[in-house]
Parts: sequence; C-alpha cells; structure tokens
Amino acid sequence: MDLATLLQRCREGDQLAWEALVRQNQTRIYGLAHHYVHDREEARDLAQDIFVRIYRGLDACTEPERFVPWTIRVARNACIDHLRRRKARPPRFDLPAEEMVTLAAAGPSPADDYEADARRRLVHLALQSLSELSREIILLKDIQGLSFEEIAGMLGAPIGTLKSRSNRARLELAKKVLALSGGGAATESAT
Amino acid sequence: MKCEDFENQADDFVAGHLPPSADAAAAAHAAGCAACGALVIAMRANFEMLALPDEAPDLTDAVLAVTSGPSCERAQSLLCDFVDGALDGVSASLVRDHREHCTRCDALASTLAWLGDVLPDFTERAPDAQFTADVVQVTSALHVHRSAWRARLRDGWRSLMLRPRLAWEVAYVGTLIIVLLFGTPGSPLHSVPTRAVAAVEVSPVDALRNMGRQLVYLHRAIDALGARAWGVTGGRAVDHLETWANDYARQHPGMPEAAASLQRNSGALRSALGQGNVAQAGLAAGAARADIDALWKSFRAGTPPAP
Repeated sequence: MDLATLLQRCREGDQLAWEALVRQNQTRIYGLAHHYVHDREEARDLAQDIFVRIYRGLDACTEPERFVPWTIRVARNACIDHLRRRKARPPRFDLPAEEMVTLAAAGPSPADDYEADARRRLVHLALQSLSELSREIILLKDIQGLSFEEIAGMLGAPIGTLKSRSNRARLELAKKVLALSGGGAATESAT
Repeated sequence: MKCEDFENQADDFVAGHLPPSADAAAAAHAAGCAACGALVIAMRANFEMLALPDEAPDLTDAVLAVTSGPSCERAQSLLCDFVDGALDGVSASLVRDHREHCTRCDALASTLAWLGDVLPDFTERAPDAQFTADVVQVTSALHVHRSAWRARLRDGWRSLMLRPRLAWEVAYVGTLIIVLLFGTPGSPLHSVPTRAVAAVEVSPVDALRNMGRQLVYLHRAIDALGARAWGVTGGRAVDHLETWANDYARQHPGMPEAAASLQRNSGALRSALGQGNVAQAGLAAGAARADIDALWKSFRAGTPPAP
C-alpha cells in the first residue's frame, strides 16, 4: 500500500492503517530518539511520545512526499523538548558521555556481528564528542538523508551556511574517528 | 680478454649492466690486470660521486613552509566535495596529487568516504517487539477519548438548544451583557446612554420635528421611486400578466369559475366567522373546500401554460 493511501486511511480513523504506519516508521523514529538521548528505555518512551504527536497532527501533513521530513521535524521538536525537561530536572546519576555510549551499545544485539558492533560503537563515540550543532547537522543530513533545503527550514539557517557547516562537521567527525581508531578505521574496514 | 676489450665495456661493468658471463670475464680480467684494476677503482669512485642519492630530500615542505604555508588546510577544505565527486576536474586532480604525498589527508579522505557508507546505517534502530502494540494502544485510547469528547460536546449543545426556557435565558444573558457594557463604571461605553439622554433633553421638540421631517422625505422618495419603476416596467408587466392569465384560463376550462366561487365562499366564511355564526361558517367552509377541489381538478386536467 502506498503512503498516500495509508495516510488517508489513518486520517479516516483506520487503526490497522495506523498500526502499519507505525511499523513502517518505528525504526527511524526510535533511531532518531536514541541519537538524542542515548538510552534505550528513554528513547523508547520518547519514540512513543513522538508517535502520539504524529497521530495528533496527521491532518497537518497533507502531502505524502513531505511525510518523512515532517515526522523528523516532529521527532526533533519532541527530542528537544525532552532534553530541555531533562536539563531542568537532571537524572540522579550523571554519567559521562563515553560511559553512556558504552552502556547503550553493550546490550544484547544477537543480529549484529562483532565487527559491525565495534564499528557502530566507534562512530557513535566519535559522534558524541562532536559539538551539538555539528552532531545535529550530521544526524539530519548524513544519517536521516534530509536535503539542505529541508534542514534550512528546520533550523532556520541559510543553505550556504549549512553546507559549509556540514563539511566542517564531516571533517571533524572523520578526524575524531581517525583519532579513536588509531588512524586505521577506514582501511581496516575496507579490508 | 684484452685490455682494449675491457675498456670498451668498463662503463657497463662498473654500472653492473653486463650479462653474467661477460661480467665474470671482465671481473677476472680486472683482477689479473693491475692497470685495468686501477681503472675500475677510479671509475667506481667517480660513479659514486656523480650518482643521485637514492632518497632525494623532499624540498616541497621546506619551500611551502617559507612561502605559502602548508597546503593541508586548503586540501581538507575540499576533501568533502572531493569525496562527494562535487569538485571540478582541476581541483580534484590537485587534491588527488596532494593525497599521494600527504598520508594524513589521504587517511582523512578515506575515512570520509567510509563514513559516507557507514552513516546511513545509523538511520534506523529497531525497538523491542512490543513497541508497536504499545503505541497503538496509547493512540487508540486517544481516539476513543477524542470521539467521546466530541459526542459529549454535540449532546450538550443539542440539550442546550432544546431547553424550554432558552429564550428567557438568552434574554437574561443579553441583558447582562448590555448592563456590563453600558453600566459598568470601567467600561468604555459607560457614558453612551448618558450622552444620548442629554442630547434629547437639550431640545426634544426639535428632535421630534427633525425626525418627522426625515420620515416625510423618506416616504416621498419611496413613492417617487415606485412611480418611476411602474412607468418604466409596470405597464408592460401588467399586459403580459393579463395575456398569460387569459391563456391559462383557456387551457384550464372551469378554473375561472371555480376561482370566482372560491373568492365568494371565502368572503362568506370570513363574515360568518366575524358574526360568530358557526353553522353558516361550516357551510361556507364546505363550499370553499369544494371550490379548491374543482380548482385542483381543473389544474390537473389542463395542459401546462407556455412560459
């Protein structure tokens, strides 16, 4: 079933269509939430909240081709709201970023082999050491695949600025990966 | 081997370019001949002195250091576009040359290309199997809640509209609003009634006279407008109406008689009701009903009039 039909059925109140839409988008939304909060349980609750927001705002998204950018925008707003609330009420145990990443990546992942898990951990760690803006640009552009026009609409920044900022962020990430891997991440992986 | 033959191939011998058999023969001759042996020693000394060093010193870095500075920063600013294939041919060639001589920039370019393949894998992350069911459960509760809220709103509005004393309540609310608007000391409209009364109290007779004059003017204007409209269209309209009525009566036999009878009997009914004569009124009503039946039959029997 194409997305336009699915959205139309969802707007008409078809719960089966809504379930199918959730299944289609849950990995993307959960992945995005996890990038922001770095905790599985927190990301799960956050992703659920994002889907509630999407459900309430389904009438606002009339063009199917704009659905994915729209959901990412909704998810990003929800994540920022969540982080603001968390900042106002910090957790009891404040863990450093490295430990949080290790904890998040150390859980059971039977589908992933060791190589992929190590690679994911390495990139994840490098991402966490980036500045907030660089990380968000990489998340939206290189991970979620949004266009510069869509990101510009989301962040309210000129496209030219975003392009140069994106190049700097990618270069910064590559340097971090090289530093963390001892200079051989790309070559080791290529072999 | 003669000394002349040895001298002819001495260059190749010293350089090590002779085939093995010739090389062995030349070596044996040089070992046995003092003059040719001395020649070989002298040629080897010259050869080593003139030969280029195996590893030439890289002057590029030294030259850049004292002129334009290191070029890595410039190369790195172009690396993303280079990896994306977005550079023009000349710039791409320059970056490629730089990569060949700079291990750090080469490693960065390789890592950038690798990240381009790896990062899209981070788009999705599977939640647990129960996630979808939980989301559907939460949102279906929202759906029921929203529907119930709408139904309650609709029922409330309906019951409000069907209240027997709605008119009294609306009048009460309206009065309350007027009092609040014009009677509250802080309201901007508070002084309006006082001003209106003051304006009338100054000269009530003049006010009434002006009002009556305005009404007369208005009445005359309407009369003039009506007369003009009748003069322009009324005559022709009446002619058309009469023609249409005659045609209609011709096409519906009995209708004019029935209409005249209905007019008479309805007049009799009205006068009987005015006098309180119930019996007479009943008779007149029966006759009027018969006239209506006759009119209806005449209408059904006739052909429709031309437009």
